[in-house]
Amino acid sequence: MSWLFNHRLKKDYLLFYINNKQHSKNTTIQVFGLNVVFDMAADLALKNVDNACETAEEFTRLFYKHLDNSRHLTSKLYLDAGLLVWNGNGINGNAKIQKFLLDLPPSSHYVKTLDAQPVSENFMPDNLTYLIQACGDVTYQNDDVKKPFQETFVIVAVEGKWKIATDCYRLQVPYNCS
Amino acid sequence: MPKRGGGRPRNNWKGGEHFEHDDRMHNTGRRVMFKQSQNKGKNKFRNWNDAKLLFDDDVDMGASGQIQNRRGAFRGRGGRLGSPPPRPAHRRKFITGVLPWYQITIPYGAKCEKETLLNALSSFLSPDVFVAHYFKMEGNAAIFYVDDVKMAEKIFNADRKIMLPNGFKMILVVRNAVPRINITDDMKEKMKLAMAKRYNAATKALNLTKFHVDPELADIFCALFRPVIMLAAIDIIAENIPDLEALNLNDNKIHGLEHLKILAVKFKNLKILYMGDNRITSIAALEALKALPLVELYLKGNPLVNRFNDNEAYKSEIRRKFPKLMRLDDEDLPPPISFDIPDESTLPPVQQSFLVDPSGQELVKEFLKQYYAIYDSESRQALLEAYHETATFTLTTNYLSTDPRNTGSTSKLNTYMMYSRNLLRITEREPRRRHLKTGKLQVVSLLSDLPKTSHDLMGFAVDLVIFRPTMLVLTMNGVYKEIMTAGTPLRSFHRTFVIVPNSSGGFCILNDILFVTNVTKDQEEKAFASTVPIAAAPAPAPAPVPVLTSPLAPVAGTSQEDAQKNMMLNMLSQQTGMNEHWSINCLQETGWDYQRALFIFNQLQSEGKIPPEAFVK
Repeated sequence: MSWLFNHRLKKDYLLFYINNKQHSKNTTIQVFGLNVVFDMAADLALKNVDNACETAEEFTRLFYKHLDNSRHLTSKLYLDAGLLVWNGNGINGNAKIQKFLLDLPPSSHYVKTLDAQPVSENFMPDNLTYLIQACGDVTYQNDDVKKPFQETFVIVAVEGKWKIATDCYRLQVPYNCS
Repeated sequence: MPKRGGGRPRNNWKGGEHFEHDDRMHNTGRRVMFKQSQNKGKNKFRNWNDAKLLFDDDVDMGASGQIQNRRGAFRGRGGRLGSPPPRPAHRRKFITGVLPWYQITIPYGAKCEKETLLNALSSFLSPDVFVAHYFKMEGNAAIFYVDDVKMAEKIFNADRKIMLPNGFKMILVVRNAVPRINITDDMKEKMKLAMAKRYNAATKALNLTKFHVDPELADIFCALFRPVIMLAAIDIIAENIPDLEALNLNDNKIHGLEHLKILAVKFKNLKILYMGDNRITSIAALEALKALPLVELYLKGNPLVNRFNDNEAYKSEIRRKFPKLMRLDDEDLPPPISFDIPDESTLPPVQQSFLVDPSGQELVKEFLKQYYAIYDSESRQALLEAYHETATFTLTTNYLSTDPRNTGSTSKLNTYMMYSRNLLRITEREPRRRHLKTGKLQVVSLLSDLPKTSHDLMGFAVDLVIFRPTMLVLTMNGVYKEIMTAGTPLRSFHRTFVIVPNSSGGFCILNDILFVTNVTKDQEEKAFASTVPIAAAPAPAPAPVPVLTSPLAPVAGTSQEDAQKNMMLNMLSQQTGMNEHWSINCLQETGWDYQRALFIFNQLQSEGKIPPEAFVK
């Protein structure tokens, strides 16, 4: 299950953003008769930061809800060619991700920190792209032990929907070979 | 009732004391005493060291009245001073102990041969047969053990009824005690030999029935009901037969099971367990075995079985503890009606690294090597080259909730907390924007404020999730040490770089998102465990890949200071837009303190005091 920008505001913003990013140059506007240089690009960048944060909140809320409670629907959040890297195990493509997730023991994630950044549109000209990092605790039913986990997503806006391009999940354990 | 174990003096039969008091062989009448008169007060000389007092009040000393004078056999009831107390036979009572082992002490037994004593005793007790375990002479006393409560009682009742060849009656002191034991290497070797004979490799089954009577172990006390011995045995088994599938512990007088929890840890394949004829008293005790994947269990002959009037109730109780059980007490259980849900799956194994494209490996390795060489160095200023003009950086941090060791001073994350941009806590837009560092100067400036580090590069888990000509996305997990912080604490981090090509054919970081927390106990143990650091592996030859635009390491030849000044100059010029001349002036006036130069610039600029020619390049 994917979600739309239910918020009217966000939808407007997204359209505004897409329409304006091509000609984002300094604009001079008049406020109370004074000429004010309005840095469109800078303003847009800041708004994009706000939006990244707010999207991250909504995204993680939905993502972990699905992962813990209705896992059979989780894979819809990934791009068809999305990539999940689960503790170093790479799983390519929506269908395989679905199978992989279903094979995991039931889980319960609790997110303690969340962070997000927009990825500059100069490098992702086609899609709005955000980097989201969520960290917290997870309990898997097989051993019922609470473990710290960290997860970073790259999400992209495709046809009005956010999709996970890549998802890197790591439990906080030692990784030395020895 | 005698207490289990030692501790109180009256429970310690001190065999050696018989040397002092055994004066039966030369009855010399009155003894010279330096003590007070023996007749003051009835209980004056009551002495708890006397083993005879262990059992009942009215047992008297067997031999003669003389000993009483010193050892205080008077118990204060009935007897007149100086005469043996009356001996109401009906009051003598054998008390069953908690432990199945009884220590038999024959005071003055050393006066006779072992055979003489045992023959005399066994012919008296015949037709009953007893086994004297661990017979030894201790001082004047002979001591041995029996592991049968009925025999112990019979021996108890034989006290002073057997005439020894030397004309004395045999005194038999019975108390509930287990032989003391030190587990030595020698003993372990013997246990190992005994086990080897009892192991069936074909069925992966080990039979330890009545282990303590094993001929290999005849001279040592090796009863499995003692936790120390059982644990030693488990260690030996785990070392030699880790894939054990069946274990028979029948008839070992086992009562406590708490320490058997370790069975589930050591033997993942243990499916059949026989624990019959032991002394397990309650179903609850079986909790310790719950984690074993048992399909067959044998418990007959344990008190817990008799507690159930209803055999069905017993079966269902046991099955509740061991849901996979198919056979109980040699009877097949009806297959349980279960739910059609597959067995609980386990987590896939952890891999150290994932590369979406193997060809990216060298590049990633080289990039991280160079990046962390600077990051872990004295100054992080040189990282300016590693970041894109519009790079963004954020940091979040949090304490572990799974680890109680958060309390020490080294685990304080205060230095990170002030920069932490946890969106779950910072909910307003303005501070969210502020905590996002934008532009390489801001980024490197914050990085420079973070504690000095040394990363465990060998312990890195690196996942390259996007590898395209235009963009790389790279996530690292690992640990580092704060080298300048008191106590050099270890931290765990999770960090993602979005890396893009730069104009000069190298690469630079566009997004950097870092999470820092404390290490778990496991991480702490394994940190820096690998001996060869990445950087030292191949000779740091000229980088094969032009990863970063210019050589990042301080260039040999120019002094460190010059290089630093140059860098500051470039940075200031870039950040303020001032030309080189004015930037130099500004830095010189502030004594090459970059932050101060920047501050003064901002101040003057806001006051409009910087002339336009300063910005002409």
